[in-house]
Amino acid sequence: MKPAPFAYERPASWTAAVALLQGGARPVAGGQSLGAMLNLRMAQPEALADLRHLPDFAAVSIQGRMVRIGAGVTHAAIEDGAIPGPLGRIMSGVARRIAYRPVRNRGTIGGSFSHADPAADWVAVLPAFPGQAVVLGPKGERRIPLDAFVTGLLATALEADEVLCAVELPVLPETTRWGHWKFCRKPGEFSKATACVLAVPGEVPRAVLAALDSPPLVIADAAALMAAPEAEAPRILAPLQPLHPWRAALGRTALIRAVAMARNEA
Amino acid sequence: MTRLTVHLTVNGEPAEVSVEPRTHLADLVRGELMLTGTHLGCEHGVCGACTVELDGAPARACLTHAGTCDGAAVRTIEGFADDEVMAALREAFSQEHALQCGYCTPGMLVTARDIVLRLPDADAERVREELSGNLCRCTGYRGIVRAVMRVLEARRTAQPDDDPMPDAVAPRDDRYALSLAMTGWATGPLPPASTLAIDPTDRIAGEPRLMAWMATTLVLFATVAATIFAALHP
Repeated sequence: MKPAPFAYERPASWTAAVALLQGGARPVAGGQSLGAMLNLRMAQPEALADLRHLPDFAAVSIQGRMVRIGAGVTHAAIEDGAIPGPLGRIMSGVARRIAYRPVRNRGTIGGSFSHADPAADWVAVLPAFPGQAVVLGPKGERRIPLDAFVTGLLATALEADEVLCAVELPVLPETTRWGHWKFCRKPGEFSKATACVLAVPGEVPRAVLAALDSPPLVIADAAALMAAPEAEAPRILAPLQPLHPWRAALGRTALIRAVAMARNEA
Repeated sequence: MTRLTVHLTVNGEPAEVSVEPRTHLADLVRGELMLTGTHLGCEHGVCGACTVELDGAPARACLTHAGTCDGAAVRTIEGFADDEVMAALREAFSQEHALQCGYCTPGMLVTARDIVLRLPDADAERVREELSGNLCRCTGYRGIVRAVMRVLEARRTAQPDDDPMPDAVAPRDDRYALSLAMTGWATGPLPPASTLAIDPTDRIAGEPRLMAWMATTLVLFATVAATIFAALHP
């Protein structure tokens, strides 16, 4: 299929980008999700605002105890080590299993997060981190906690005239434990169930269960899950009924295996 | 209809086209520049047939619309005529029966070249995983994996450990072993050819064995039929 007609704009500044969004334009970065929806005519925007040339769109910097990752950093850059330290190693492992390399070369962390497909990888993984999304709108900049950013199917806490500039994630100690497990019948396809567990020494462990057609389920205190995953996973899944039995089973398995991986890691 | 003037470099040559913003890069190179080596399959990023090199890295031409390409450098399959790695891959694809109808081949070659250059230490399992974004409906992939491995191995022999190319591969992470195992057959190791009664990708070895099996079956059937016929007509 070919897209319905749209106008193309390439804003040179963040202010110009926000002004375009106020005029009804839809923001686009790598276009790896939106491009497919355009071609299938599931999305028919009047205009696209191409964010890829905005200043610092793909920048990575350490600011105090946080790593600021520009919304335009590609999955491939993260896979290849653009993020420093233990956080970078965790994110590299996640990035490597997003779709396929030609998609990762263009697709961005911010684009994927804002698109908010419930089965997308960053939608499942970013809420595990105590961090913020940096958002710019007509009234200026504000921060949204990562675990409150995705609110539903393809829905986020962003207003129509707001744009995601960056995500801020904590610098992690070397002793951080991490587990991440997703089920795909074919490598690169959308996950059928994803779970991840983040255990930073001295902090309450966190977990996320995602890709179940609903917003990611954040388990802010995953201590019980870490201690007894076999008993706790069904309890976590129970309120999500009526989930089809095979998906509930995958959800339980994802949680149990993510915990197993976090435990095995030294 | 609003048209957009797009300046880009295609296979080393500057190009200027006037297209609708909704035109995607594959239609742009095929329709405006008559570079029809880039193929279109699904047009939504899944099949990989339209994979071209965009600003030095493989990308889906069908998901890249015209405006985004302004100022970009594009290399289509036609632009690899003098490329040493691509020449080795073409030869290996031919030798390993890595294509039949050829529809996926331009995209497959662009992806394969990226694997060879980016992952010089890749094994067959990793090659198979990396190829998962390019669909082929003819070969069953075994010939393609072998062709890429043939080029990788030849380069490893030619460039032993003093290879100055930096290793871009992140160290293998065993935490993902389970995840890999659960992502299905496509990431599994190739079964050795000897475990298959007839190796469908190895025609030279396979056909005589198939003929032998058919001959044995025919003889057995004829013997049984003759015995029954003899019993019924004493």
